[in-house]
Amino acid sequence: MAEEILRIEDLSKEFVVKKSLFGKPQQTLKAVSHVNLTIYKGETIGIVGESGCGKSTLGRTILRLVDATSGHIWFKGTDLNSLSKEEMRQMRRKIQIVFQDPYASLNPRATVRELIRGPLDAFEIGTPKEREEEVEEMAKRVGIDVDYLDRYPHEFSGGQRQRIVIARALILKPEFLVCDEPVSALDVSVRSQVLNLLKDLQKQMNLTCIFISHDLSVVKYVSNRIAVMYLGHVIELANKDDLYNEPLHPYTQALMSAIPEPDVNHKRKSRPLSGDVPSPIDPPSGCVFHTRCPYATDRCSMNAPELACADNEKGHYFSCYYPHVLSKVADYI
Amino acid sequence: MAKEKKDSYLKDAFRRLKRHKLAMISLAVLIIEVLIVLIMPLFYKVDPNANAGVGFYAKPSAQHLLGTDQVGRDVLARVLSGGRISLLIGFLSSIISMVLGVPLGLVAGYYKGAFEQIIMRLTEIFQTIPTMVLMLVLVAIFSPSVPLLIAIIGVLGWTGYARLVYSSVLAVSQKEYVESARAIGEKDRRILVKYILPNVITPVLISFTFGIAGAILEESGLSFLGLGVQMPQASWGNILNSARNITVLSAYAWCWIPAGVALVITVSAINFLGDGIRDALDTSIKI
Repeated sequence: MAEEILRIEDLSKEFVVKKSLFGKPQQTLKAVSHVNLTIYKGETIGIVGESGCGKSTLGRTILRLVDATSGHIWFKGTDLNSLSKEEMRQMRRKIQIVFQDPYASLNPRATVRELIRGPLDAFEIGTPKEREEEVEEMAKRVGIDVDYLDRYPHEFSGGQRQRIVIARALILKPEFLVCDEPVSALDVSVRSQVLNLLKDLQKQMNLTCIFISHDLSVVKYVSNRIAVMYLGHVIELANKDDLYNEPLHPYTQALMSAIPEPDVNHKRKSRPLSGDVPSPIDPPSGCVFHTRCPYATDRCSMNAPELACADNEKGHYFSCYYPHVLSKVADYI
Repeated sequence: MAKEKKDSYLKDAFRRLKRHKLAMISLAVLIIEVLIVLIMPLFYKVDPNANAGVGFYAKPSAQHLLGTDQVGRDVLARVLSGGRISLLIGFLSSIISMVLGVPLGLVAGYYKGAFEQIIMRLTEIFQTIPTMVLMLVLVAIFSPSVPLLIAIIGVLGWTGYARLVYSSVLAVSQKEYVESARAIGEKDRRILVKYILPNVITPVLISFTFGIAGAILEESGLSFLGLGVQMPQASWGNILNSARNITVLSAYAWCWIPAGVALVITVSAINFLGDGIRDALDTSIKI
C-alpha cells in the first residue's frame, strides 16, 4: 500500500467526570479506548458509529484539541503527543479540521475575509497583499463570491458557512484533514454539494482525510476504508466495499441492516439491536458489545477480543471471537 | 443569499438603541449636563470657594441664582464645580475598575488552573469586605484627596468586572469557534483578544454605565460622611453634607436641593441609559 502518513497507536482518552474533594479522579468516561489505526497518504478513512461512541473525540485528539490520556499519534514519524504547545501549533499548518456545526465554529464578530485569512495571520505568512490574494483565490475555489467577503457569517446559509470553514481549513495547504461530521448540520439538499467540494479539493490538494460521520451513506460515498467504532473501540476496519458487502462484526451487521432502503418490497431480514448503548463511564467487561450481541457467550463477557485480521490481502480487521459463526450469519443475512 | 447589505452587530445595536426612547432621553440629559458643568463656568464667573459678599444663607436672587450657603458661597457655582468633580470621580474610577477587572477575569476564565484559583479566591475575599468600611479606613489612613478617592473607588470596584468577565469567558471558551481558533493555529493571546474579548464585552459595557452611577454615589456617600472630597472643594456629596441639620433642611432648602436633584437626575439617567444599552445589545428583545 501507499506511504503511511498517520499512525494511531493504542490511543486512549478518558474524561474525568467526578473528582474527590482533593481533586483525585473518582469516575472517568472512557471516550476512546486503545485505538490503533494506520492511515495512508491520499486515502480517506471513514469513521462511523452512533453518537457518543468517541469518534469526534478521536478526531479532536489527533489535533490535540483534547489531550490523549495515553498512546501515541505518529504523524510522519513525529509523535504529536510528545510535542510542546508551540511545536503542536506549528504542526497545525499540516493538520487541519472541519467542524460539524458551521454556525458555531465561525467567530460571529469577524468578517468572512478575516475568518478565511485567520490561519495566514496566525502563522504570519506572506505580506498583507499576498494574504488578500490567497484569501480571494481560496474563496473562489470553495465557491464563495469574492464580493461577499466583507460580510459576517450570520448572513450566510449553512452550506455557504461550511464552505467558509473548509476554505479556512485548507488555506494553509495542509496534508491531513479531519472532517468531523462536516455535513451533519446541513440540509440534505446542500450535503452532496459540500461533499463533492470536499472530494474535489482532496484530489486537487492531495489531502489525506479522516471523515467522521454517523451517516453510513455519507461515509460510503467519500471513504476508501471505514472504521466502525462502538463505545470507544474500533470494532471493525475494512475497505468500504468489503465492509458493506460482508460485515463481520455483529454490530456492523446490525448497522448495515439498519440502512434504510428506498425500495417498497425490501423486507428487513435481521432483528434490529435491542437495548441501549451502555454508559462509557462504566463500560461492560470483556467485549464492550457483549451486552447487546445476539451471539455473545461467557467468553465474550470475560475477555476482550483483539482486533484481528480476517483477510490479509484485503486488510479486513474485526474484533470478535466468533468470526466463523459470523460469516455464516452474514451469509444468512 | 440576501443581496442587500446588512449591518454589523454593533451598528444594528446602535440603531436599536436609537429607538429606545428612555435611553435616548437619558443620553441627552447626560450630554446636556456634562456640557453645562463644563461650559457654564465660562459665563457664570463666580468663585465657588469664596464668599460672595451677600451674607450667609442668602436667598436666591438675580445675581446669585441659587442663593448662598452657610459661609456665604454661591450655591450654583458650587453645584457646577461639584458636578465636575463628581462626574470625574465616577468616570475615572469606573475606568480603573474595568481596566483592572476585565483582564483578570479573562485570564482566570481562559487559563483556568492556578490563575483561576488565585484570582477568583481573591475576588471572593475582596467581596466579603464591606467596601464602605474599607474605604473609610483607607481614607482615614491616607488623607483624603480627589486622586485618592478615584484610586480607592476604582481599585475596590474590580471584583464585579472580574467575576462578570470570568463567567462569560467560561461560557464563550466552550464555543466551537474558540476551539476552531486553536485548530487553525492561533496563539492564546490572540484568541483572548480577538475571539473571546469581543464576545464578552457586551455585559462589561452595561456594567460600566452602572459602575459610573455607583461610583458617583460612593463618592457622595463618603463626602456626606465628611471623608470624601474636602472643603473648600465642592462635590455633590459634601454639599449635601453641609445640609445635615434640621434648620438648613427646612429653612434653607436652596442650599441642598440643587445638588440632590442633580445627583438623582445623573444617577437615574445613567441607569436608564445602561438599561437601554442592555436591551439594544440583546437581540432577543424587541425595541
